[in-house]
Amino acid sequence: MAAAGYGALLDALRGLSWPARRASRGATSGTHASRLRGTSAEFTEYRAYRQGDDPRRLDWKLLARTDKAFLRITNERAVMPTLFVLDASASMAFPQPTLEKWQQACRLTVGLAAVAHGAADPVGIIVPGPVRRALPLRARGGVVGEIARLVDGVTPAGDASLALVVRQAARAARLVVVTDLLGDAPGLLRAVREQVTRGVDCVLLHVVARAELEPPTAAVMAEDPERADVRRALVGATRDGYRAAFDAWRGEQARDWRRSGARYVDVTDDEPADRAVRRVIGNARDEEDT
Amino acid sequence: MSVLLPWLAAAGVLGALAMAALHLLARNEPPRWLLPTARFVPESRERAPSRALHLSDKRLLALRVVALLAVALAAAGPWWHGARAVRAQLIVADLSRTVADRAAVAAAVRAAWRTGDAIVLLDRSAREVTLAQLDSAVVRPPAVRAGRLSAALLVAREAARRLARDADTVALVLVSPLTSDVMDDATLAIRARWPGAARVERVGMVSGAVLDADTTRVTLRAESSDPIRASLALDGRLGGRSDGGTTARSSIRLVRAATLTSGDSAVARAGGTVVHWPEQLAARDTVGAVRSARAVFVATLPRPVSPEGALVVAHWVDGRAAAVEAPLGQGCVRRVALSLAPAGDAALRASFRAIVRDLLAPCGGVRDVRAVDDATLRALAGTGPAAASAALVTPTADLPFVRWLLALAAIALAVEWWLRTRQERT
Repeated sequence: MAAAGYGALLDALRGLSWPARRASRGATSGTHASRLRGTSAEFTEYRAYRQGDDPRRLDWKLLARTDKAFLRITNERAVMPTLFVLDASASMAFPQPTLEKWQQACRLTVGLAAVAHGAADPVGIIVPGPVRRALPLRARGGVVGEIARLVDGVTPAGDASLALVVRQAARAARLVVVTDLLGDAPGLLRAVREQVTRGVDCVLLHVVARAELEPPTAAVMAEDPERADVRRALVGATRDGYRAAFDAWRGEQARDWRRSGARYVDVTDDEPADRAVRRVIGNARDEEDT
Repeated sequence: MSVLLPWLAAAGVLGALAMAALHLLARNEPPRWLLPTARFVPESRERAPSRALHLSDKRLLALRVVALLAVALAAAGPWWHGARAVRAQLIVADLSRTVADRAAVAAAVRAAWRTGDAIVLLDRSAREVTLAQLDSAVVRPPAVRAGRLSAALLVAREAARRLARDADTVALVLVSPLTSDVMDDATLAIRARWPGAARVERVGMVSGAVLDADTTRVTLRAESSDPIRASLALDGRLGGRSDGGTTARSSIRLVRAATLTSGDSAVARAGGTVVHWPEQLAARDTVGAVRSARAVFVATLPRPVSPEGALVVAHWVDGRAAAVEAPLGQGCVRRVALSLAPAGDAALRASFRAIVRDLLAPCGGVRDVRAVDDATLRALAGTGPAAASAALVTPTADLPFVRWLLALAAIALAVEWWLRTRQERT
């Protein structure tokens, strides 16, 4: 899909905001609440002066009127550098030949990047794989188009580790991982926990293909594209077992990810991308987080 | 080549056809489908049924069919006929004591005999002989003791198994007068086990008047007051000539004296029957009954020392011998150790007279020279065709092809397993 192919999606997402779930660590002025208390005009409260405070933050007028030393506390607004980690392993290339799961992952990535960039947040992307492709955090205009072109130039293959990439994401205040969790899910979960502990707002988009949820009724020999040793007959006798196991695994993943402090959203490849983006950013009135 | 159990071979063929049909509905491997979540599919056989209009796994099918047919054929019992006559004959030649003209029997056998046939001779025993041995047997005097057709049929059955290897059918030929003398309780049952009809050629039998033990007059050498005399008189058998019957082979002499004379021995050597039944015998104990071939006499009888001999004619109720027979010349001497109480009418009782009739039977025991009745004759002849060779060879017979067929089946199964394993790996 060319970058221009995201036009309809971007049009549908125009004007949306993606508020941070927690105060940003960023110092650059932006639209998100910052952990820093600074010198902006947005007054919050007074606090008694304590030894060691910067005297420049004293409210001199108050001191003159009351002869008491108070600091003027104001809220800072900061940007949320948002880094996308897009899973481009072989399992994302499904179903053949439309690769709808991968296309959906790309649409979500571009859509969310556009929403974040709309709030002047720097956005970047890392696509691990045999040939690692990345775009550093940038806030300049056109970065969304660069991201779109980057993901469009990727062909899912291999089974590169997402956990390693997540651990290396040092500058991001918000980390969005778009994956099907069919790789090293436990390792990825540990890496995300580390980021959550550091105060990073982590979002996990679990992309699932409809064909994975409801496989065809015809007998097939299912082969795992990432594990050659997994080769099993998917027939009438095993279909129910497959669906039960897959559902149980998805439920287990959702529980683990939510417990980790990250935001977990599962998306199917047949869900309209703009609707899925709204669910992620929490602006959709008729949607609920899953 | 034939099989003992054709239905098993047919079952093997049907099984092979069913196997081919199963390969038409082969459990082919379904089409591959790359499914990232394949790990959640439960473990199962990596094959799924799918129809095919062509035979699948032709090599496996061929090996399985070969194995199945080999096992079925081995179980069916194959055996090789070789170059053989179409029909063989098993001739039972009866030269027992009831045959009137032994040469006629030999002539009948010779007329029926062809190369490859077998002859079973029945005189006092049954055995397989050659044609020359049969000719030798014809010129010998007839046996004193009776032969049994049951034994001849059993020997014939054994010989038939040998003949069956070189013949399609084995015909049973009975050359015999077929008197009751050669029949016993098991004869018809044994005959029924012969899987085919028999051809019966009846020859003449001896005159019943000569050998009828119950009517032949007895020469008695005894006291006038001997109770046996009264018993014989009641049966009308008393009155044989004591001097002129010494050369008659059919003569029966009862001696109640303590010892035999030279004249008695002459009668026996000439073929007569001398019954030495001393009147006075020292009793050792008493016994409750005595039994002969056809009768039982129950009474408290003084028992003398039991005589010794190979052929027991009568015995006490406890199994000890009461009368024995020993051959002498062409006849025999029968020694009876049976005492009667000096008083009483035991000798006149019917059961005792029956004992006496058995004891005074010609040498070899009672001879029943009546011709068998029509029902027995029909049972002996049987119905249908001659016995098929396959029916004569038992499944336990040595079948050399079986081990080779089983080896072939084992090899086919081993190759099939190897081939299938290799296919599954690839």
